[in-house]
Amino acid sequence: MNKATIFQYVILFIALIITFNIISLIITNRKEKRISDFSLSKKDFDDKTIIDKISNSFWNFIHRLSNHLIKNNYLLKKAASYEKYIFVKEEKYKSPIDYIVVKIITFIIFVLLYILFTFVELIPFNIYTIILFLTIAILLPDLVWKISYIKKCQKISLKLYESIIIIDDNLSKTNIYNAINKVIELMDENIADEYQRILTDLSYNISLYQAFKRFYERTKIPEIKNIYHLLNIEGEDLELTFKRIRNEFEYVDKLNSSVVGTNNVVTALKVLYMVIPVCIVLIILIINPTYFNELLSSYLGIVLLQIVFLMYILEALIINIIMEDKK
Amino acid sequence: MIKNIFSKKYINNYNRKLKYIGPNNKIKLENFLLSRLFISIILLVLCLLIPKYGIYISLICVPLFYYLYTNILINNKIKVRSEKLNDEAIIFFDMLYLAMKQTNDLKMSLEIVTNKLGNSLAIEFKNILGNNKYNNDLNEVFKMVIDNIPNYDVRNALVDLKESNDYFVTLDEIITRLQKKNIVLIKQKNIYKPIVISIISIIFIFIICYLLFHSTDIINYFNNIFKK
Repeated sequence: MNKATIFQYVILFIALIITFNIISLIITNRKEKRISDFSLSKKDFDDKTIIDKISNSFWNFIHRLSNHLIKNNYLLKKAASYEKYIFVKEEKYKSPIDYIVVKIITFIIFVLLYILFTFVELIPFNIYTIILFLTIAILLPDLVWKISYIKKCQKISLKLYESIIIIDDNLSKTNIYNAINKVIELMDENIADEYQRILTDLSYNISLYQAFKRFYERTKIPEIKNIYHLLNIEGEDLELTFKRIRNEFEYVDKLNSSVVGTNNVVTALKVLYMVIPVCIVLIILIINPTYFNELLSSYLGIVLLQIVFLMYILEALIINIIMEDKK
Repeated sequence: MIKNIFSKKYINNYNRKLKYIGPNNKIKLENFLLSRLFISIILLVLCLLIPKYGIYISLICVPLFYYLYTNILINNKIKVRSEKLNDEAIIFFDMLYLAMKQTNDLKMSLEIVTNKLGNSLAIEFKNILGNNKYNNDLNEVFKMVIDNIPNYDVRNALVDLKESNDYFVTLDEIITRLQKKNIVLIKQKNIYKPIVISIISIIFIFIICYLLFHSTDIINYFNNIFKK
């Protein structure tokens, strides 16, 4: 038996133990439900779930590490770029330096994993594998955070119009602070978080124009430009400005809805034309499985296959670059 | 020097086109026309030196160069600007509306808006207003700006504004008109997208299929060449 197969069986064993524990948890929860109607339990006073508790304790542990380990000016400056990833309600137990500590910890974990994998002989001991693992260790946390932030920004851009309708309707009754508070009450946590940051900016005597401009610089949503352009003219009549902003958003809605039909056709065609060459290769392999053996054996054949692959990638690039909306 | 070679009408035409490019124009008319002339003459001489097919090559190359030179340096920039102007004008007139509500004076609101925006429209207004600081006649200012704009709709909008009695009503009408025009233009642009995508991808699929199906022939051809 290989060392690699032993390692696989060890991981399988650990996974089985975890599933067994989860199943027993579910059974005990079901039994507890029958009794919970007639008794008090700790859960009635404790709103947090297991994953919330784990993430809380994880970040608390890292916060303790960061306080002890790092008092550097250089690292503080680098950490300022991670400030936008923190939600406002999480600021009690997170700070930007923790993200750098997480990066260091992932680096150490990947080095240990590499040693383990080479000991078990899953991966050969090369310079290339070392470079691969270290680049993944450095880039992976940034990628994960960036992707989650981009998803958050996409969700925000769908709800911007609603938030401005709420502000516009409430400005006739109250002032702007109460209007923004209403938005925070009624809407999702993603947008509410960003509007809370705008409120803190306003409390520091920053004008509305600057607050929305900083909002744009954090998230890079292009629809916010329509908002802060009109707020640049400092007037006493905020109702009118927000009405014009609302008209702008209606117009942008009409623009996008008039283009939806062709955009759907375009995406369908893109998928189709990407799939066709793959189908051709599969059909060739089904009819004659030994067709590519001649090519793979000679030097010119491999060059030819690389050219075919290049053409495929070029096609994808050209279609995506030419068909973008240039603004 | 140009006035000896080219006619007055030609020069006026090109002067007007150069104004249409916008405030970031760095091309001067003399340099452009003379360089185009001399480079085409040099190209002609070089092409005619090719022994057998020189005439045919020169007949293709020189007009092509002539056409491409003007298009890349002048005409394309005008096209791009006139497409952008619709969006810029909407923001410009929106801000004008708000500024007019505060100060009922057109000139002051124009100064406020042009100082805050960074558009090409706003920069043109700013330059011309800066030259005519003590000129209280806005008609001349508007005329000079209208001469620099290639877009038909924005030009009509500015003429409307210049000769109106009630600024708020005209600004509303202008903005709705420009918005409707934009919607129509975007629909027209996007009709060609699926056709262009299918043409490009079918060309590539042809190339891929040719390479895959005639791979043995290609390899034998290259091997025969190298064996010789």
